[in-house]
Parts: sequence; C-alpha cells; structure tokens
Amino acid sequence: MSQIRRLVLDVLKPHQPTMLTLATRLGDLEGVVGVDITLFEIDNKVENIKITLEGEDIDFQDVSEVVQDAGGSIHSIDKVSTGRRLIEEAETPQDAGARWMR
Amino acid sequence: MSGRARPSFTARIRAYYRTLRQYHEISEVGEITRRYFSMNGFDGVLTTLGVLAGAYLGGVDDARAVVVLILTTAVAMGVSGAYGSYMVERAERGRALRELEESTLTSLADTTIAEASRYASVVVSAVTGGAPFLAAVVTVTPFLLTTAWSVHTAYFLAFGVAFGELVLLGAYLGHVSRESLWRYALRLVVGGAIALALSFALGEGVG
Repeated sequence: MSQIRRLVLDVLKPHQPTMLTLATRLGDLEGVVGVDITLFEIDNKVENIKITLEGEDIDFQDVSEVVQDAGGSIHSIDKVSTGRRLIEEAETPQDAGARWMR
Repeated sequence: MSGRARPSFTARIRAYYRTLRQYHEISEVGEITRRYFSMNGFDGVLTTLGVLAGAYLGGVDDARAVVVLILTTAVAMGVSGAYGSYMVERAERGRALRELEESTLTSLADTTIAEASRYASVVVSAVTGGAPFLAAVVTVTPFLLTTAWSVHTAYFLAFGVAFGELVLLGAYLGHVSRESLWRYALRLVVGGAIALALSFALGEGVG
C-alpha cells in the first residue's frame, strides 16, 4: 500500500501546550522526517495552525493522537501526498479562471 | 514481537521529570504555589505561636503535652489546607477546562492539558497543607530536646525558632518580589510580634 509522504492539516488548538511542544512530539513520530507549523489565527483562548509533515511513511493515526493529546482538533486535511516520489499540484487552464475569481 | 529495548530506569525517571515540568509550565502553577506557600507558612507560624503562648500562660510544663498540642494543631492545619485547596483548585480548573472546550468544540478529557490540571490540583494541595504543617513541626523541635534544657527554656527557644522561620519566610518573599529581603523579613517579624503580644495580653487578661 502507498505510504503518506506529505500531510497538511488545519488544526484548532488551545494555547497550551505550545506549538513548540506539539512540533517536537510530531517530529518524534516514526516515519516523520520534517514538521512545519504555521500560525494563522489567534484569540485569547485558542489558535488556528497549519501543520505540514513530510516523511517516508507518515501514520495518520499517530499524528491524530498527538494532536488530540495536545487538546487540538483536526478541522480538515488540506493536502496529502503519497507514492514513491513527492510531486506538486499540476497547473491546469481552469486554475487561471479560479485565481481570477479569487 | 517488538525489537525495541525497554528504556533504562534513569531514562524513565528523566522522562517522568520532563513530563512533570511540562505539566508545571502548562498549568502555570508556579505563581499560585509561591503564594500559598508563603501565606499558609505564615499562618502556620502564627497559629503555632498562639498555641505556644496559650500553653505557656496556661502553665503547661510537660514537654510531651506541648509536643502533642502542637502536632495535633499541625495535622489539623495540614489536612484543612490540603483538602480545602484541592477541592477549590479542582473546581476552578475544571471550570477553566469546560470554558476552553467551548472554544475548541472538542472534549479535553484525557489530553495533556487535563493531566496538567490534575497535577496542579495535587501540587497546590500539597503545598497548602505542607507549609503550615512543616512550620508547626519545626517550631516544636526544642521540646524534643528537654534533656538538654528545661521546658521553660524550650518555650523561649520555640518562640525564637518561630521568629527565625518568619525571618526566612520574609527573606523568601523579598527574593520573590525582588525587593529588600530584610525589609520583608522585618514586616513578617513585626506581624508575629503583634500576634504574640496580643496572645499574651489576652492570656494575662483572662488570667
């Protein structure tokens, strides 16, 4: 079965534990080679972050458990890449129209 | 069968210590414990001073009786502090967790933050109960050595030990507030002196 090589998640979490702790725990997971967490929004109780993970064989269940243990909830899986090689999203003529609308 | 070796005892202790430190940071329990340690330590010393003054004025000249008197008071203060603060802390942190769940729209039970809240309740209760208990037990130590001196001398040594504790507590508060250690120590000693003077005045008045 194909392994997950890249995963991008939209997560809502409380301030504690911090992004530092969450990133460290995700980085310690087997199959994860790199972690990136970006802050999108923040209020006095919670923060909305984007988590990007890359690796050889990312286990979504493990990632989900770490996020939940930190009090976070995965709102959506924004991107997933699998297979033997990482590829980027392909440009299509329809994208130009969609970009114009944006 | 997993090929992973079980971590050594030292590694497990270090990991446990790291977890507790994390709970400590998440629950922000440092400030509360400093506050309760100082407040309840002061309460413990002054309560013990009052009991000692009462025993002295009441003519209790049996060292064992004084030790029992102080230790039972110490236990009562300890249990009261620990139990009461555990209930209060648990209630407040439970409320904070419920409010946070309204923002995250997910249950926070079985998460690190919930475990940190439980850790905080236990630590605060241990400090709140332990501080006055320890203060009282230390004050009564001269009565354990009445082979070396008389009970009458032990009373005054115990008063001295109590004021010594106030000096140390004051110095600690001065350190916490980054102000003059001696000024804080003096303030606490004055508080203790007032409490002792009032106890003696009351005792003489009743007598």
